[in-house]
Amino acid sequence: MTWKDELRTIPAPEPSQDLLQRILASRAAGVRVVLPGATRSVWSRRTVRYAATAAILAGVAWLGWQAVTTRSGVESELPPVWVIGGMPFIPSTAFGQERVRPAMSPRYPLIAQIQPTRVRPGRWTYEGSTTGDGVFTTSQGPPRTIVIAAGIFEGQPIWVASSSPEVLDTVLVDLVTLRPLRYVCPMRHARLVQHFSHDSIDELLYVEPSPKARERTLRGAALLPDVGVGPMLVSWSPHSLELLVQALPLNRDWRGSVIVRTGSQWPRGSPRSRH
Amino acid sequence: MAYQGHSSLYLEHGRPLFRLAYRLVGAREDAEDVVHDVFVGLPDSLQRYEERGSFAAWLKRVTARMALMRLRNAKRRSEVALDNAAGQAEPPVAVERDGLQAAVDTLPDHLRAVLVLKEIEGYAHAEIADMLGISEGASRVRLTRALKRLRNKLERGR
Repeated sequence: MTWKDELRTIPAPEPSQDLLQRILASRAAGVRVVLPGATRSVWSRRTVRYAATAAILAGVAWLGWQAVTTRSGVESELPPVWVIGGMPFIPSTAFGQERVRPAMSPRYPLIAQIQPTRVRPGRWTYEGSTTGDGVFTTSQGPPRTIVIAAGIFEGQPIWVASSSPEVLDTVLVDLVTLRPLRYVCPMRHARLVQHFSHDSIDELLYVEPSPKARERTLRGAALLPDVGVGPMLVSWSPHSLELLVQALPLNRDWRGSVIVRTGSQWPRGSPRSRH
Repeated sequence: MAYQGHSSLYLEHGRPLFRLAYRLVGAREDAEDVVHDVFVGLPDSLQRYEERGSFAAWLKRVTARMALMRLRNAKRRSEVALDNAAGQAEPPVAVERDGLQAAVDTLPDHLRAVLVLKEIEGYAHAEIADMLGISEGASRVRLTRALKRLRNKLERGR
């Protein structure tokens, strides 16, 4: 037996007896963990790599062709590098391109679990700031205030989160999972009502009629991404994000962030009009 | 695939997943946390599981990814916490280990991960590259370096 074979026989300890109990207790307490995908994306990565290479080659060829066909009259300030046949190998126009910066990633570990029990009723004021392209900005706009109250919706305990009087929208979220159940947003001449089920969203937009028209209701529906995984934000409602922030396991003076992934299947079909 | 329930899934797959996590993260508590997170997140993730391969293999890949994420996060945390931890950290407890195990333990995380995934778990370099976010070539290089270091340590130990 070689030492490589011995590698496979290195003993590992056994997990604790209470690990299963810990798991069951966490699930019972509503703890949710978003697991990383386990699909094999090797081929797709290769495909992307080949496609990117082909695109770059095509781009360089096109630039070269452009340089050759547009050389009548005006000479470029930067002389191109010539190779056989008079074809510019690196046309001067290519120097005007900028290298794409790699995608920004968080500078600290992501929080994979939330603690919905940290949410408390009351009136909460938040100062908003935005991080874009790695630049952390200072406070933006006036502080936002939300009011959180306990309630019952269709027989189950919920949080009712309402925003400051300027906006007046309200979201009902499940008390255990913090997933939204219903969202109402009154607007000046319309009212948006959304109903969330475990895998889809239905929305109604009531539009106030003009003097000579009839009332209109626009109806839409969409599948929700990542069914049942973690809480979900109501895209248009900032206070649902603030509600979620309360559930992040952060200590005082620590900073956390929420990465929002939007669904790719929105909307499923175009809204249809009903009179 | 119908969700079987935590207990039966854990009883069937818990031990091998724990061993995999332990070999990757190198600490019992961390390995238990990895397995805990995998099983807590499992019911939701099962909805994304496509029955194209072995369920056990899928679970292993998820666990390996979780363990690798934990390694990366721990590395970042330790980089951040060095200033604050001065004077508070206790030296690691010396554990009497078998020579080969001790040699594996001394490998840096990025080399040990490739070694464990390739030589013990039997993943292909393409799969390892995908899990670690590196190229296949880098995976091969890391394995070569890991094996070389192990060989040197074992020869010095004789």
